Amino acid sequence: MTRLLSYIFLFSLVYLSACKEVLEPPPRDLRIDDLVLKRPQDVPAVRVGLYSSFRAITQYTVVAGDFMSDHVRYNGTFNDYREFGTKQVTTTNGDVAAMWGYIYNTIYVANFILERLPDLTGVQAAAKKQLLAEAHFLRGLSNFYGAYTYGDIPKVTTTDQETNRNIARTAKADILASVLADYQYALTNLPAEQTEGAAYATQNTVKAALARYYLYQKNWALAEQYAGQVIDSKVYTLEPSYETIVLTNFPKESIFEVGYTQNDANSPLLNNLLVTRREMIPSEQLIQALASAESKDRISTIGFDGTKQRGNDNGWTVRKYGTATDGNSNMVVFRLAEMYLIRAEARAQLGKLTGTSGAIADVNVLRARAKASAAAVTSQAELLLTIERERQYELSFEGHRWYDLVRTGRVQTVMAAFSPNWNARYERWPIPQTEIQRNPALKGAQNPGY
Amino acid sequence: MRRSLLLSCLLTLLVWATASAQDRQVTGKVTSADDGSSLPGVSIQVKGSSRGTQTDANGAYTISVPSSGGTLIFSFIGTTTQEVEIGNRSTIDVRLVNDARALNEVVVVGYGTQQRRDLTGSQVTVRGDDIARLPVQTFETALQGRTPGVQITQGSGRLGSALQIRVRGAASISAGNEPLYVLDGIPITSQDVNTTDNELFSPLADIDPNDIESIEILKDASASAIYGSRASNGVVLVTTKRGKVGRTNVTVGYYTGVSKPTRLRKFLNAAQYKELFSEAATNAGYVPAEEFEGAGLDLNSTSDVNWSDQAFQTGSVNQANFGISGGNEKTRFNLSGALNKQIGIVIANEFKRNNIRLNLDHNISKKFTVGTSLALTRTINRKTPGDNAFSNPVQLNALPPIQPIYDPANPTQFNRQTLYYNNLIEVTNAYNYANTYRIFGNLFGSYQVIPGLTFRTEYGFDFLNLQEELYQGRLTEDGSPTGYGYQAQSRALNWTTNNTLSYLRTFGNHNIDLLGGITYQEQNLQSVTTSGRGFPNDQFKKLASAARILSGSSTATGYSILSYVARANYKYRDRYLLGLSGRIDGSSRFGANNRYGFFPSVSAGWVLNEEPFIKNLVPVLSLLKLRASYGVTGNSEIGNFDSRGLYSAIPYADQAGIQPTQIANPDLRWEKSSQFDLGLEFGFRNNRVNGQIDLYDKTTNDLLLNVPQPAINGFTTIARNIGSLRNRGIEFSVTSQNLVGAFRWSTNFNISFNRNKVLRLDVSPIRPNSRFLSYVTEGQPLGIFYGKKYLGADPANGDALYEGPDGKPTNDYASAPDLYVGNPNPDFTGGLTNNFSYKGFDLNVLLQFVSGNDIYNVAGLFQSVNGDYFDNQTVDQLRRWQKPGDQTDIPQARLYEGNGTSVSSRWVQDGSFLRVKTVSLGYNVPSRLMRRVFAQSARIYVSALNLFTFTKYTGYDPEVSTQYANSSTQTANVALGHDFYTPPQARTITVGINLGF
Repeated sequence: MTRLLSYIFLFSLVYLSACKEVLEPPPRDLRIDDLVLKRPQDVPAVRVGLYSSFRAITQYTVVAGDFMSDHVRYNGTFNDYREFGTKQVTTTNGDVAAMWGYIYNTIYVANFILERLPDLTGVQAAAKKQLLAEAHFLRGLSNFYGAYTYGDIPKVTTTDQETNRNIARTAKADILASVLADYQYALTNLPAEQTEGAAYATQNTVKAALARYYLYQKNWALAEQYAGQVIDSKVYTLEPSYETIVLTNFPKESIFEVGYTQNDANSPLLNNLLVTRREMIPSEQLIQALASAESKDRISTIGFDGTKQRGNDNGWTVRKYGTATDGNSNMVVFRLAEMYLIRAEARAQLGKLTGTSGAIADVNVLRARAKASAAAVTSQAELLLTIERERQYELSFEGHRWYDLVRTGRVQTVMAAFSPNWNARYERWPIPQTEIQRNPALKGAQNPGY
Repeated sequence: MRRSLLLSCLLTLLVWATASAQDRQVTGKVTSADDGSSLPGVSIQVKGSSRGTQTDANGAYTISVPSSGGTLIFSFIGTTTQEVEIGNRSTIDVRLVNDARALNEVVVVGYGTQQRRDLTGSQVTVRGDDIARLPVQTFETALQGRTPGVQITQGSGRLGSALQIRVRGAASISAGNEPLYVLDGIPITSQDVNTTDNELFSPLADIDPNDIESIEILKDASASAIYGSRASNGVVLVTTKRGKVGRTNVTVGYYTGVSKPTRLRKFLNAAQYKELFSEAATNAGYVPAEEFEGAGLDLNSTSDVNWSDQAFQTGSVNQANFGISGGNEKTRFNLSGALNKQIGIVIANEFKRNNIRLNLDHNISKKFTVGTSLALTRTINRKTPGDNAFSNPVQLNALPPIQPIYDPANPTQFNRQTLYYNNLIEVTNAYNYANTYRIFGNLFGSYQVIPGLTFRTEYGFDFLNLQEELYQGRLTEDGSPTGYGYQAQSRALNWTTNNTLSYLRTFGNHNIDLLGGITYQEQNLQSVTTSGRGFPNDQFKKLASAARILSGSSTATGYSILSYVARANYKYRDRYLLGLSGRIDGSSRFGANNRYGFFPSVSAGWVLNEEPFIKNLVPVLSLLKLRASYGVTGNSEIGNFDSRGLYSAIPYADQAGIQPTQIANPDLRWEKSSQFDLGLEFGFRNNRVNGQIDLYDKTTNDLLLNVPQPAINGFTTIARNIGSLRNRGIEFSVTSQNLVGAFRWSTNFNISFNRNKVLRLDVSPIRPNSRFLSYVTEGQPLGIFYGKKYLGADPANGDALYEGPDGKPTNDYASAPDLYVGNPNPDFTGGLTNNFSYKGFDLNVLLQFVSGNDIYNVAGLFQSVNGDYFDNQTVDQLRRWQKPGDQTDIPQARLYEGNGTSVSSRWVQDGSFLRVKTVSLGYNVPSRLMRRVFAQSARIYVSALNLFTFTKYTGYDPEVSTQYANSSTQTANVALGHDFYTPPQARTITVGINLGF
């Protein structure tokens, strides 16, 4: 008996002390950092992860592009949206910090790929080339949003945590130069087309991004050229019915659209804000604009429910963002209609107003699709305002309005008429206050007026 | 049916037990050695047989004994047990000596037992008898008011809701603050694993309080360091009842009772509502009728509904239990079981528990003992929705009294046009069952290698299976329009092996007690969830009938701990005590650079009364012991993978990708508490008066905090060990046998003072939720209330006033600075117990008190805002400002205008309370009456839980902690003393009977 017990004891001693690995249980649902991008099989998963990181930014382009503008009325309880609705944005606004965080999260993932992928062996050259180009493209696009939302921002080019704790702001022009460099790298190295649809980038996606880039830069000739190239590629066609764009994912005119999955645990931010909670509802100005004869079918962007009309609530709801299971939860980054509008604006600025290669023709392509009255020939200045309205009809709640008004210099006029609280400082978002507290190089570097 | 089967089984047993032959009679009288008074109710037993009796009201007894004689055992509560040889005497009178039980009692310590007088650590003991018959769901509730240094808060009146237990204060900001629970040597799962809501329920409800022999709470480092990295929050050792050598004892018990809420809050009635809101609308420039209509209300409604009361009902409790125990020198057993059913005071809240337990010990040889404990429990909890749900019945108090309960057009249906959700619909149209199947198992063998040296090996497991089944019918808010169903299966498996060698030896004046061992524990948690919508009708509730499966998921996680433990106790001349203990813990939760931690402690004691100079000087002193300890313990209640850099799966456009979610910190380790304890134990007159005082200082360093970093790093936080927190305090308890003899009266009083302070934070102050006042900042206690200071209504114009930047009142909320406005941590807590007994009657009264803590009623933002929106208001809002010159704390009623509605100290109140926690009156039926029904003893009792509560708090119940705060461990740790539509506790009155055969 004694012997048996000593054996048991010895066994337990040996068993327990010999197995150091008992303290290394693998996380079951997760993968550990050091294991990622060490094997060629990781490449597809990391690529999908990169797009998914970028996807998080796009929700906030609508927060910036539409909630900052005259498109919305505040109808909720959350303070962050009260700030947007009443045009009293502060440095502690949660969404201001969230968009900043997602921009740099995407840049981190892109840099991680750019640092690790070149040295990874066993990956097909084409796949490697494509992913490196995609990382450049999405880093460029993230920085583009960053520069036009916040102005001068820190330029992050590494994943090294020590370096990244302390980076000062870089001039907006320099950031935009790096965006252009990233776009050009991507344009050279991305495939001309692929079979995965609008959820992944191609050369055409980069051209669409370049068209918007040059439009913002007021380089009308190049804006016209790139927008024209995308239109002429004939890869994308306008949906016959505008409502298809409102209610479905991946319409035929999507150039780049970030996608959700049926299984996404939480409904996307915009569905929650616009439909479930109705924190933000369409403003009277927008409802009138969308209901006009010029807009016509584009009224389907919003819908009316009389039972919700009460007090401050006008009963209207934005319809562009459903839940994942509704089948219209995706975020459109670029679509063909925007290319027509970019080309129209560039041509109008270049004085090409009429004729088959004139601005009015491009506008009327969209009017015709919306079964709206055709635009008439007017002065250049009038036409530019027509295009501004057309962008409102066509692209409302796709994250453009505020950026458009700021770049055309019309923001002060339009917004001061809309809200007594409007102030010139709102041409940019503040740098999030937490960011200034945590990054010593940003001390005292807040945007003017905040 | 089951119950009657049980009874007939018992009756068979007892007929068998009493059918043995009787030989001759012995009579006598039992008196108290202290004052000579006669003692009724003393139990007398013939050793080694099943024969027994009790003394009558005059202390006299008669018992039949074998003609050969034998030994009689006299036992009585509060006295030492005496054994008397019968010989050939026929009259035996006995004088029982008052028990100095605090001295020689053996108490359970980590991985062993020790004599109480030899303890050098600080621990508090609660006996199973004291808590067994209380109508509670989980045993921690029954410890309230009995445990100095341990603050126990039942946050809500939901059945089975988890308690907050703080042993010597909260020692952590972000990691767990609950103690480690060890059942018969095996650490068990003590945190809820539910997947449906933030409301936590206690997995300890699966332990039947009747099965508990004793509970030890280890408080200082000397007592707890042997549990190493999990001991910072204290350790609760629960020991279950085991069989003893002797006759087979059979007990059955039954109690039944009713419960009601301790307190309710008053809201406006229809007339008051119309008055206040009409005034509010007029003041804001609106036409009242129009605004009422805009909100779907009818100003001319004749309804007058007390919605607040609709949330509550008269609950009930019922329990039947049995226990059979006994054994001989070779084999001992204890078999027990119970059925418990409770209906809550909140509508549609029910709790049921069925359990059985078998504890068995067997001596294979003189040297070799084996044993097992096996308990099976099924617990069914019909949960009521959490505080922050529109379906929470307490939120009905927000509904306007002018809206009817039933649909006026169809009085058989509930009114569905109410301002907020009329959640009475849920009572019959929705449920959320948490069905727990739990097995506690434990197998051990112990072998005496040489005299004094014992090897013990132990293998134990705790298997928890939780099945959650939720259905919301088509009429409910969340189930509309076609029904919503949800199912989850969660399994927590904990298994442990302990292997120890202990050596106990006396050499002359030296006593040594050594222990060394290895233990390993692994926990594995898995869960599977599925949900669906689209049921053909509400009779189909299983997901097989759902038209659309909405989601399906499975997850798993786990951790492991490998440890080496050692302890050495040394005693010289019964006077000088020295203890050393240590543990090395290796945990999978710690970072690669800090995988193993060492947790040592040292302690010393000096039994002064054994010193001749004290003994001679103060002879009444029966105990005077001075002890001190210092040690280091850890808190490893951090996430299982917090130290790792992690990638998670993330879908994108119907493909799966991976995305970084956490930055690695290989230096991450446990939080470390260093604790110093100084204690004095004393006893007078053979310990008729005894007590202890403890002073402690517990400083926790390396607090785990999510340190914010600039988002340009790609992540906004990283987990680091950087903060520091201190708890120090005094605990005092005293027990006195005021009267002994026929009329007995004893008193226990305990009081504890704890002061908590955050010493170092190194991150921005923590504000867990913008609706809360809770705040964590350096130099202040955890979770102080910090916000705008509300100063009442401006007598000139009725504006809400706040303390402005210059210290003067201002109506500009934005300009008012955040100030210290309250502290949820009490100044002191404690309890007072009085026990009386006389001639078979006994009365026990326990008072519990908590003093100096503040409560913030977050629901005040909606229910006490002078008619800002149409939520029904508390009656105190009628004191609103109405005309210039009015001096009041309630501002002018202004609909929608936000006059005094923002977060501020307006809803902070003193939360001190004194509660008559338990009152129990019992009567022991004289044994000669009982013998006629073949029973040994019978006790009939009536008891009350939470009988009266005295407080200035105007909310539901001052003992509150909303689980709305449980969005994260950190928020739950920090958001103390917050009330948010939280149901009050139940006041329960029960009557019961216990029979012994």
